[in-house]
Amino acid sequence: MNSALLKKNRKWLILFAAPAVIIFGIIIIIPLFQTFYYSTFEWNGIKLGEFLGTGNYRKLFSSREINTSLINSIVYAVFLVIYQVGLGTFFAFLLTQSKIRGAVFFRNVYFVPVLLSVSVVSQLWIWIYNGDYGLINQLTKLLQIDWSQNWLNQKWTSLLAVAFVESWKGMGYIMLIIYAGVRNIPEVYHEAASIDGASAVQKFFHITVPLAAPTIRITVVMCLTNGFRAFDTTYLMTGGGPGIYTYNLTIMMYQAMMGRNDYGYGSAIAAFIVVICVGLMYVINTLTKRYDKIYD
Amino acid sequence: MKKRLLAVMMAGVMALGTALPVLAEEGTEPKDPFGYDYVSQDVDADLTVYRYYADSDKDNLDYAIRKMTEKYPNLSFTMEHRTDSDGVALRTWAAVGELPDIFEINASDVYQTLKEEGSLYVVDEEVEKTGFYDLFSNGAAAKEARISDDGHQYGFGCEVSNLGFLWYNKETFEELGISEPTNYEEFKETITVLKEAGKVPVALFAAEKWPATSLYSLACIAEGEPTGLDAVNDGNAAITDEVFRKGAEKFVEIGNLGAFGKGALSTNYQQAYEMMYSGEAGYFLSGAWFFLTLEADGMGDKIDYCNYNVFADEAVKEDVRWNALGGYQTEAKYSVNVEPPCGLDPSTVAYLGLEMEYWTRVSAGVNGNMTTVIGDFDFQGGEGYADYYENYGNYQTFSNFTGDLSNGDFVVAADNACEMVVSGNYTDAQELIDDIAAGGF
Amino acid sequence: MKKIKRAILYVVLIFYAVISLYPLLWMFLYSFKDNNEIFVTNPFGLPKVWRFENYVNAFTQFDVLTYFKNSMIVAAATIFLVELSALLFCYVIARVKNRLTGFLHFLVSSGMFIPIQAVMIPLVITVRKFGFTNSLLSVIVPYTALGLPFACMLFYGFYLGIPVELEESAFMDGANLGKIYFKIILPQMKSPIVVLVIYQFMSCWNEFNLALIMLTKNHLKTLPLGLVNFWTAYQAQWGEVGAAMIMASIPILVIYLFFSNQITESMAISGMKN
Repeated sequence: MNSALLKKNRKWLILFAAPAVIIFGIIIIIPLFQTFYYSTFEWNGIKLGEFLGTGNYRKLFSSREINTSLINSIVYAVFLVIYQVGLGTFFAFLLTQSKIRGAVFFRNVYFVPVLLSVSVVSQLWIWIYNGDYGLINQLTKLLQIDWSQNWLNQKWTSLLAVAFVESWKGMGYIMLIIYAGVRNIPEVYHEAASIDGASAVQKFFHITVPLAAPTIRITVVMCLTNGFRAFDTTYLMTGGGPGIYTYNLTIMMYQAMMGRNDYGYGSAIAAFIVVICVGLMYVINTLTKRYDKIYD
Repeated sequence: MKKRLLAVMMAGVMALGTALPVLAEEGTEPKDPFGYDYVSQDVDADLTVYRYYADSDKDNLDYAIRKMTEKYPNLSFTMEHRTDSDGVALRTWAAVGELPDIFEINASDVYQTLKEEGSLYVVDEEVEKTGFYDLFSNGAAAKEARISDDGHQYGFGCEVSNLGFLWYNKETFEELGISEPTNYEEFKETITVLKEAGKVPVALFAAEKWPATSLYSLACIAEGEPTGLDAVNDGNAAITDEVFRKGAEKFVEIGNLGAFGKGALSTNYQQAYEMMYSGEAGYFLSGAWFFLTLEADGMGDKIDYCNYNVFADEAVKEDVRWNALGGYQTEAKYSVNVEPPCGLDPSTVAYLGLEMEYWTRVSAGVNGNMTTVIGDFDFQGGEGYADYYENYGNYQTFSNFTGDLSNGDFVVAADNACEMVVSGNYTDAQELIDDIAAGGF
Repeated sequence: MKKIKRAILYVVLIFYAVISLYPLLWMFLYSFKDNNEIFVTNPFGLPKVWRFENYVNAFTQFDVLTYFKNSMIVAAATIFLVELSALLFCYVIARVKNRLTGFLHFLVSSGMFIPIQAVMIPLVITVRKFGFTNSLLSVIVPYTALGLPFACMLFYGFYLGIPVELEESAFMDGANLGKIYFKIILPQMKSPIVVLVIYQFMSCWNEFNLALIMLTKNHLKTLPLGLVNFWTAYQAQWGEVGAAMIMASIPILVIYLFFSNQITESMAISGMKN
């Protein structure tokens, strides 16, 4: 919008932006600053203790669990991206093809897990994964494959198993967003490519993906940050265990606050999570800036 | 430490002096010991009360509410059910000054902070005047536990403490030709038999963190530390001490025998006891509140508990029998808000709270369950429950279920390490000890 | 060759559909079982005995109507507030490119990464200062704030897709921003608006942590809180809890089914426009 228009409609612009800014500022920004503030103190959640400066942060980075938590969080986040954006784009593209019958049905069905409560989903998958009588191991027994795992008790399988459940649960939503982005691509592009003799796969990689890039970028950021903030599924399925095998940053934060009653420490972890996520978002947005002006 | 020792001794003395309630022909409700001496009949308020309000506690509380509202027609109650076991809700309310009139404090750090801030009303006077603790057979011990370092009581309560045991299914055992173990060797044998029969020997609901750790604590009690892991929590012992290493060896040993099913870490409480009910599992670890569940489910005569500490060697089993897992009387129980939101003055609220508590305990007795209210109650319980009732007075020392321990860092470290044992990741006792020791305990 | 490819695709689609639907089916089935069947004998299959009393018990013991009403009010109010404030705000961000808007955009987007437990206590104090305690506003306003970042992210992308020429020509004709926005721009945003309704509805409906702390009076509680009361009893009957959860999920499923058709329609329309 050029500056003349801007000046003329200044009042409108401010009016438009105001509600969101005010609500957001009061509810999120101020408490966030308070959290950063508290992270420099020893705080039991009720009364502020002594000032520690970077004490809580030093405690965090020298703790026993930080390495495992960080690695787990990264693995988890990457898994989410690969599964949700990968399958999401695949299905979104597939289901926009008119040749596929029942596309609407599939789209609706894939979204169902998103609607279910996370406690139900977690409980079900706990049983599917059970080492003795779980569905997976029963199936492998049926197929005579000697591959039954003690899914939730071992080091990497437990982390991946939980990541799988969260990915599976949320895929439908990512798919929907990407679908909206793909549908927004004017049909002409695809038609022109077809006339030029492009195959479905070629169309996918050379037209769909680039033009849906802003949307895909959003979903990548969402998945990555969800990975770093993951809590409910992990908490319900393993509680971070066994031991610290499925620990992540948010579980550490929850434990700091509820288990160790060390809210200052917990606030420091929370601040750390925020910094990571904001940093990620900033980095990704900067790296992919060229996709912003796609329609201009 | 000294105070706790005193409390423990008094508990022992009082318990020995407990008169078993006479089994009357029919349960007779005791008369109202309070009258209108402390609170006038026309007291007008709506009391908000926050405590565990489900299962049999709900029945007992509803009974108390009925009694109170009959007595004080303008009184009403708003009950808030306690859904967490770590004090989350309480913490946040405390931080913003939104505490109810009467509340259960289930986190010791919250209690400490509230006490120091002066948010808890001192109930010394109300307790004295009503003679509340004299109404209970274990009253003196309970009162002793409630007295803080500064000599005042910031909370009240007198309940039958819940001790921890392993329950087992008598039918399952009979079918397999085994019987209740009284020592460690027998316990190991039963585990092997159960395992070979394709059952899960010990159904541990390790989806929660405390069962595994408490089981380890039980082993340490058997090895000669009467309060189990409490000693390490309180800083009076180190996890590297001999007794804990020996306890760890036994704990890990049964893990290696396959005592815990593969799904232990994701088994929840209901699932675990259902497994025992149906014969899929042999043992179930829980606390004495489980007797009430058994009664409600009609399983009172099919399920019994192990009277002896299953980890104890034959030579010492009699000595350690009366060192209980659980049953520790915390200083915090039910407290009164120093500025009650209902508008009454805290003294009145305290009197009402004491009376309400009294009636909930009476209700337990009237319903045929165990209670320490002095009176004629018709106890109706299965064999195991009656057994427990008889033996209740003999316990000498008590400990915490590990979830209630005060040192959060220690609990987290111990929980994580014990999980590794239950999940089969640690197969050597030294791994367990090293893990906890690395946390500085 | 093409036929085989298509067949494989269909197999994949159907397989994924099955594993997407099974949990709902499973929850439905276990709501008719008792604890024993659920945990021990028959976790995965059809109920051996169909216990309809689970639903009766759930309905009587569990104050469904109150919780349902509260959840609905909260969801509706939050959706309205989020849609309105986010749409307007994002428009400004998307069209006006200067440092201030860039910063605001960044700020609001970062809001997505706040783990709620971190800000919970300061937030409760803030809400109390505003006098929202003991009303549904104590959750509605925070939910709105929490929903803004995602809404903005969604709308921002879509705003960028609307060619600037549309407004510029309208401005030439002398219209002011208010009219232009509501008459020209807004109709273009149908699909993300609908998508957001579903997402925001779900976030509100299933949200638990914040509601637990803010809504302490029973008559204000939302469904997840009510369910937890039901769930955390030591003698919980999972079948009844399942029945309660099915009852609690019906609105979401209905809303989704209803709106999903809208999505298809608005997609088709915007597709044709181009």
